[in-house]
Amino acid sequence: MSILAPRDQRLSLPSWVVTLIVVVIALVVWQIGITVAGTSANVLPGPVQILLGADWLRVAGAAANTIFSTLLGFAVGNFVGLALAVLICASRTFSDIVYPAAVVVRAIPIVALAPFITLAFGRGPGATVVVAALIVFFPTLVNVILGLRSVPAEALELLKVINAPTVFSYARVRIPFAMPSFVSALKISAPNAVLGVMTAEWIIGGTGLGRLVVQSWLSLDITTMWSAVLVSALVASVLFSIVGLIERALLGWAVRT
Amino acid sequence: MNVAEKANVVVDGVGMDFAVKGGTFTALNDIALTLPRGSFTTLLGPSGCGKSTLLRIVADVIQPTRGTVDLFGMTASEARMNGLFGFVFQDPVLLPWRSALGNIELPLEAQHVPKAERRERAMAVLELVGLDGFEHLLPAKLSGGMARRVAIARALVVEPSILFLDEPFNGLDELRRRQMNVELQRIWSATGTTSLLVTHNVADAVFLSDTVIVMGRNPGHIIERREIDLPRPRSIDNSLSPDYIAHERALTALLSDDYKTRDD
Repeated sequence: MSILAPRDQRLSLPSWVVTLIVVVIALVVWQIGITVAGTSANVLPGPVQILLGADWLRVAGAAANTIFSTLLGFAVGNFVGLALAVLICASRTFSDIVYPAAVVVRAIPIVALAPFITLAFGRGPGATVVVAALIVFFPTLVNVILGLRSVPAEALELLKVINAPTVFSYARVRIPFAMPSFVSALKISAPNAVLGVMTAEWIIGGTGLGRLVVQSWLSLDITTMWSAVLVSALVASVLFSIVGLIERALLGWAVRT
Repeated sequence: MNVAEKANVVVDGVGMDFAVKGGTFTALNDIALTLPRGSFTTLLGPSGCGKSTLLRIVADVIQPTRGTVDLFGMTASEARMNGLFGFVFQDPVLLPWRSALGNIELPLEAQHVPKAERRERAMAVLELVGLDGFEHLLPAKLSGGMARRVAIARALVVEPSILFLDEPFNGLDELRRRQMNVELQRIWSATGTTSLLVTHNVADAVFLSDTVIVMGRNPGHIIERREIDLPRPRSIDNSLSPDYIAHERALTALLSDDYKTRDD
C-alpha cells in the first residue's frame, strides 16, 4: 500500500501518453537543435528531413525482415535458455557438462563466430536468427537458474513432505517461482535480440535494417540510414513494451506495492 | 487410514552430525522418544537445540546420521511416500499465484487426486480451519492469521497420520497467536491427528500439549519429558490460572538450568 495520496487523487496521465510527449519533445529539440547549429544534413538530418526524405518502402521491407528474425531469435534463444536452466538445476551431471560449455559459447565474441555461422547457416535469415538466439540465451540461462535456486527452502521441503514427483515440482512450483526472473531476462534480451539481428545483418548479410544502414550509408542516403536507425529503436522498444504487458498480465502476484 | 497395528511413533538413538570446517558438529545426540497415537507432543527448547532438525528427521525431510525412526510400523521414508505426513512450516510458504483453495489442493494435485474430489476435500478442510468464504483470495490478500490457517488446511487435506508443526505461529502478534492456539487445539480435537510441535514458547507448549519434551543444546539432547495433565478443551482464560503457570514455571526452570550450565 502506498503511503502517498491515493492514486486517483494524484495528477497523473497514462504512462503511454507521458512517453509520447517525451518522444515528441525530443524530436522537436532535435529539429530545433540541428537548425540552430547548422548541422549538415549529410551527417545528422532532422526528423522532418528524415520523414520526407527516407525511402520508407525499403525501410518497411527491411524492418519486416528484421522483426521476423528478431522474434524468431528471441523465441529460440529464450526457450533454449529456459530449458537449459531447468535441466541444469535438475541434474548435477548435466550442469557440470553444459554450464561450462554455455559460458564458453557466450565468451566467444559473436564477431569471431561470424565466419562459422555464415558457413553453417548461410547469409540469409538463418544466420541472423542464430546470432540473435546466441546473444539472448545466456542472460536468460543465468537469470532463470537464479530464479530456480531462489525458491524458498521451505517450499522445497513442502514438496518433499507431500512426496511431489520431480516434474510436478518443476511445473507447478519451481518454474512459476522463477518466472519473475525469466521475465526480467526477457526485458534484457528484447533489445539485445534486435542488436543481435542487426549485428548479424551488418557483418554477415541479409536483407534487414542492419544491412540497410550499411547500404544507405555507403550510398550516402543519410536520411534512409537514419530512418533505419529510428525504426530499429522503435522495434526494440515495442518488443520491450510487449514483454512488460505480458509481465503485468501473468505476474500480477509478483508485483510488490 | 491404513496404518499398521503398531500405532506409535518411536524415535530411537537418533543423532545428527553436520560436517563443518575442521571436523563435525553434533546437532543432536542420543534422542529417544515415543509419541502415542493421537497425542499432541511438543519439542520445547532454545534456538540451536536441534528441535527443528529433529522434526525434519522424523518427517524424513533430512536423514539422521544415527538411529531409527519408526512411524506406525513404517520407516520415515515409507510413511512419507505413503502420504501420511502433514507439515506446517514456520513461514506459511503459500504459492503467491494460487488462491487459498488452490494452495490447499496442491498436495492432492501432486498425488493425482481427481479434480472434483480435490475440490471437495479442500473445501472441507477450508471449512475446518474457518476460512469458508475466503477460498478465492490470493495469499497477498490474506492476513497473517489467515495465511497460517491456509497452511494448516494444506497440511490436513491429505488426512495425515501425523501433523508436524514447526513454530507455525511465529511472527503473529501475541493475541493472534493465542487465538490460533485455541484454533489448533480445536482442529486437533476434531481430527485426532498425532501432532508434533516445535516451539521455543513455553506458554504455547503448555497450552497445546499432552507431553512436552524439553531439549537443551551442545549437542541437542532431551532434558526432560513432562506430561501436561490439564483438562481439555483449554481456553485463553484458563491459561492464566495457577495450574498452567505451575507448568510454565517448571519448564522455564529446566530451560534456564540448561542456559546456565552450557553458556559459561
